[in-house]
Amino acid sequence: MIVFQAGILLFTLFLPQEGEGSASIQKEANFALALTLELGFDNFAEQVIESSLKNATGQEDRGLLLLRRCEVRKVISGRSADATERMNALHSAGTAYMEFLNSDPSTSLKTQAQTALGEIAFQFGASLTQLLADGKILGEEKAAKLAEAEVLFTEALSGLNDLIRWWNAISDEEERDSSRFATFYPASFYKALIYYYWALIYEPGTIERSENAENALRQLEDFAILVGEMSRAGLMAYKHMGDCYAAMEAWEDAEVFFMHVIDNGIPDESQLDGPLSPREITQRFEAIQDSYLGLTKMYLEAGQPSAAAQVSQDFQARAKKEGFKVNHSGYRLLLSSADGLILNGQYSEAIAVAQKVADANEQSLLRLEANEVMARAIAAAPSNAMIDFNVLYGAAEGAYHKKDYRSAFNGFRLLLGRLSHSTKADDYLGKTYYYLGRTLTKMDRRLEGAVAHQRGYELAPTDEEWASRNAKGWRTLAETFRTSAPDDAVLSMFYDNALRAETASGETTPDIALMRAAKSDYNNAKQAAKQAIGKDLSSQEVRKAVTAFQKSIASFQRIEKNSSSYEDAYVKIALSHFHWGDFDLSQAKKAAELFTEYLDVWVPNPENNPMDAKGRKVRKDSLVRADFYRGRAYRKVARAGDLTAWNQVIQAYEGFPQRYPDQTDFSNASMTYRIEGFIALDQRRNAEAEYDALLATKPKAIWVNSGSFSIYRYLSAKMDSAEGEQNEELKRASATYLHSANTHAAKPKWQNIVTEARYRHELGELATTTKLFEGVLARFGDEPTFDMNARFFVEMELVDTYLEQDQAGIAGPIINKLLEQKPKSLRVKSAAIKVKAGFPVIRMRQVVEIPGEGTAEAYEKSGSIIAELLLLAEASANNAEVNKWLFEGFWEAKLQQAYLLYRWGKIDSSYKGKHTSLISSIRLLAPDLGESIAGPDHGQIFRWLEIQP
Amino acid sequence: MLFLAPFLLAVPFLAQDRVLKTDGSSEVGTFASATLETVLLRRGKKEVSIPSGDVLRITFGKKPDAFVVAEAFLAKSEFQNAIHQFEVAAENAKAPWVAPMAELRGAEALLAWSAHDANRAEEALSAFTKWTATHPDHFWAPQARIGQAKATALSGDLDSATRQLQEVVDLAFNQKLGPHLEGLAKLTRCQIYLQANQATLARQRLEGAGGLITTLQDQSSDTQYAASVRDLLTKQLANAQVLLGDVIERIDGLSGAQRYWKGLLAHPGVLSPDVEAAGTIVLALAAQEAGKLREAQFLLAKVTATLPSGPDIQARALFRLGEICEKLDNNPAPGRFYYQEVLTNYPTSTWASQARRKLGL
Repeated sequence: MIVFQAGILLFTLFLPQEGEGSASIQKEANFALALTLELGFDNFAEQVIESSLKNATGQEDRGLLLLRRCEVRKVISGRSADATERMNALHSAGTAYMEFLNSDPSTSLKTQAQTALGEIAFQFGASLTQLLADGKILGEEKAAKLAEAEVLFTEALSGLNDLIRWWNAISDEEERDSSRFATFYPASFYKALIYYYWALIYEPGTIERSENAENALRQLEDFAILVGEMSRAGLMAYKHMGDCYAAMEAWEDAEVFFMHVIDNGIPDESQLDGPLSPREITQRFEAIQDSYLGLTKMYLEAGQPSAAAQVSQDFQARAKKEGFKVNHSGYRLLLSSADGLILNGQYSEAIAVAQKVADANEQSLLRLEANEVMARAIAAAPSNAMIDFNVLYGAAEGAYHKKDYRSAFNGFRLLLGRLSHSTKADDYLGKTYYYLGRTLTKMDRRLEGAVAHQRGYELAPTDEEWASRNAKGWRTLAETFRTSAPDDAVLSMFYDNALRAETASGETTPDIALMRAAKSDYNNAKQAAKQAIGKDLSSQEVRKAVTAFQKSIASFQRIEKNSSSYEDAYVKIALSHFHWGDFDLSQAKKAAELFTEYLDVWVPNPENNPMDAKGRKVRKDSLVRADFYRGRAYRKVARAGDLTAWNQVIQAYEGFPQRYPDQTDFSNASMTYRIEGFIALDQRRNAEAEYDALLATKPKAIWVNSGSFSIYRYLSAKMDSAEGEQNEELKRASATYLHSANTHAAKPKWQNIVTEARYRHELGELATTTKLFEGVLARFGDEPTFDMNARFFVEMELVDTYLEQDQAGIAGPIINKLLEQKPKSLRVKSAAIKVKAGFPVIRMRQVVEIPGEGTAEAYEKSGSIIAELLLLAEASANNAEVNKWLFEGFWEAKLQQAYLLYRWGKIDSSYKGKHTSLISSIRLLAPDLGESIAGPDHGQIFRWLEIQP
Repeated sequence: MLFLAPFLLAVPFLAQDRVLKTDGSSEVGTFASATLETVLLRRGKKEVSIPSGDVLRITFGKKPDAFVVAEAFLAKSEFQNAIHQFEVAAENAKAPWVAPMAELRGAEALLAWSAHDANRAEEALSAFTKWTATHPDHFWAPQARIGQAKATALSGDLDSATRQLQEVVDLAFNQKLGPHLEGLAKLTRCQIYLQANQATLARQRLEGAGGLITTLQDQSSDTQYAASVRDLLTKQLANAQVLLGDVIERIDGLSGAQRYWKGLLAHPGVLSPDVEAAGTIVLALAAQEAGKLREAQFLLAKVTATLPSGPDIQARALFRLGEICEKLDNNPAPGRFYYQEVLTNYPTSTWASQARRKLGL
């Protein structure tokens, strides 16, 4: 939608001057306007004006009141964030202005009203054409709206033409100048836009569309010349000329005008007398953004989606570079890019972009558009994708309040599909079904509305806030069904059930009020506990938390045994003790006792069986919570140091997944706690068996991560005291579990991947090691914790791994970079020589040459590095007070030096034979060629080199 | 008002092609080629080679306009226009992926057309046959061969169709192209069995310890497969469960199907909305058959109001709800209202033509 928002031509209607009406009427009129402007009491304001109109006798008084009514309606139209509502409000305001103009007002008031009517008319045109384009106005309604538009446009143009004629006839230059900005420019601009929107309401290719668009073009061209082609108003005119050409399907002409604004909207400094003010720049960027959007839309209409996508990208690149503030057009371009992300399978990124647009435009139509994009992304996302329910719910509820019932219906149903299997379902089920029921009722699908309310009540009867609303909605609709077919037994039963539900969930039922108060105390206590975690036990925060839990327990104890909420209260008391256990371990033990009493004594007693839907739901929820938190209470005790409690954890959670097959999150958590227990008791096989059982349950990644990381930590700790094959086996298993933890982590840590890579390296899994190190460098390059130092070590280890796999060539670029970054590092130098000159190794008792870069340049560089290495080795030997010939590092450098000379001699005859000379001289000083210091392989390579030509 | 820079950090380069991998990660670059062995992307002068078994799907940053327009026509079931635009896209292809993909989508458009006009089945078969002969080792060959098998079945040669699908199963296994491809081929084969009035054979392949449903249940919960693969397998499982319901209905009638669905719906929390909705519709039809019209009406209303299932199931439920409402003297809602809903919201579904007839349009 193209909305005029430049601000440059918006004119405030001035209040009439004293003397243009009687004092009391003026007071009433001003009061009415204030009611709307300051308090938002729109209906009241209209009533005040209507009532005053009845008492107004003089023409001036009547005119004043009519003008105020216009202004009230104009304010209302500007406030509306719903497209249809806004269009109707604009029409209402337009009608008021037309009525005012027909009341023969004074010249000054008439001028203001004619200008305002022009503005209202083009804004009405903008709203109407957008709704038509969206297919939201069809059939008879469309015909009626088009007729309304014709009347409004005709009247508005008549007034604007009067103003333009009047201004052109002014001979007094001073008067002409003073009214230029207040009257002439707005009238000219509004006239053009009215013609433009008038064109759009006709089908493309029709004569009417062409004629109106050409009228608009002529007017805009004149206007641009008058106001200055490079002025902000001129830019706006050119942008609208682009729109006009697009409406006429003259794509190339349209492109020229849009591109002109985009390219020249911010003039070069050389074209300016002085710098542009920040406000001026902002407004020029608004015109530029409008043009980007206009161009994008034009390309789409012209059947060139790829060009449209390119414009969107260009816009984003420019916005990033120039950092201007985004306006509505810019946001719409962002939403179109979010649509592109959806097509690309990047659902969470698309949701994030749309969410940010929605957040930045709370009170605007853009919010709805962003919600629609979000809904599309969520609908397209895989069923196991992580989606923020708040986003989904907010989008659907927002659509409901905006009366966009189709979107609301789709949104709420989408949410219901995602809620299954979620532990957060209880937070959303009641209200989602309630609004789904309301939405369906608004869509005149009352039967389904009643069914939605019924399910909402039955699935969430303990949701105090929404259960009663659902029950009421259900009963209200069921009552109408029963009345329509009094003899239908099924409908009668449907009504009776609804009535029972409404009674059970009634606001006035005492225990519901008590439960609500107790839950509030409980939530307050948990909040206080959060503040107290980590604080000294004698601190004020801890004391406050303890007092809050005591209050919560006392509140729940007020629920009587005969209440359907009793079991909920019972379990909440135990949960209060459980959380209190963070500050006093005896309370965790007390919690475990209470849970056991509930599970083993209360529940098995048939006298306590729940009698109604609410009671059954309470029982179902309470059972699983009691069972789960009993284990957690034991775990709390165990983690505090009582190792015997781990047995209780294991026993408490035995068979939990089978007891509650639909509680996947609780079940998976219980299995990870059993794994912890087995580990604490040093029962590796049991822990691994439990882990396998966990994997078989289709767990979310978080649980696999948790279970595998626990086992990894346990095994890696054991590795420290193990040797030989046992150490090897533990290392292999550690690597496997750590790999599983890493691949299932929501945000894997590079440190853990590096640890896995090191294990793989030690296990000889060089290809995997390489892949892991490469992955770390590619994925974590921008992460702050992955600093220069960390990167250096990972790159060095990667180079070492490449070399071990005889891949010196691949290591080249990395080692060159490291040589620049750390020219003094011994480790870098040693690796660099191997990469550049190659190196010999012993394999199967044979000398094998691993090729390096092998160029003259590489050998040159290696020669200087070896010289430095030899000096460093000598210095290290001196520091250790050891003869350099007895120092292993020195021998390694010497061997590399001999090998370098040998390779160099292959490509440069001046080096030929130099390696044998070197070895001969070494042999004079150390006849075994360092074998006793650096090992037999070292000696064997030296002897091999000695006989090479 | 907000500055744009923070948004841009979240917006990747849309113009690039993207390979979505089975482990959930992705590689971006410019598409170069795709075979059953490897998918090749270019990044500047560098080539990135990804084993085809690691690839879930490929998306393209810049699509030719004709291709985009063709997809839009196909979404609206304007088959002839879609096929023409796919041909235009293939003829003017610049990027290496466009011609094979446009030709494949053209064949798939013909196949979709066959559901409305049986005469198109031969054309679809011919298009798929030509495609598979031209690109026997292409990454999209399994997709094309499944389409070819469907077209073969529609043309009446069911034996060849099932053999072609077995070849896809073998190919997916041998080339390690992933369990989702095997699952899709097996599921399609069962659909063809049912279509060929071999419901018993379809049931044997779907049910039991070694049946497709058990296999998909195991695989979709097996964490050795990445979440994205498991998601595909879960969807195939839902389709297989619904198909088994149809198969049982064909063999044992509505009462047999009712037993099957009651058993399945006893655990609604673990079922997909599609399965729950399909089962609830069958229960509604069984209730209708037993003369319990009001009960059937409420069951169908539950589907249309609260179960976010796919378009075909929703259209079916709305249509049936319309019929029941008519039988209940349009109380509490007129049947025509639901027929109109089918037309408005699912105009391309197979139920739309029936709804149109009911409305006398």
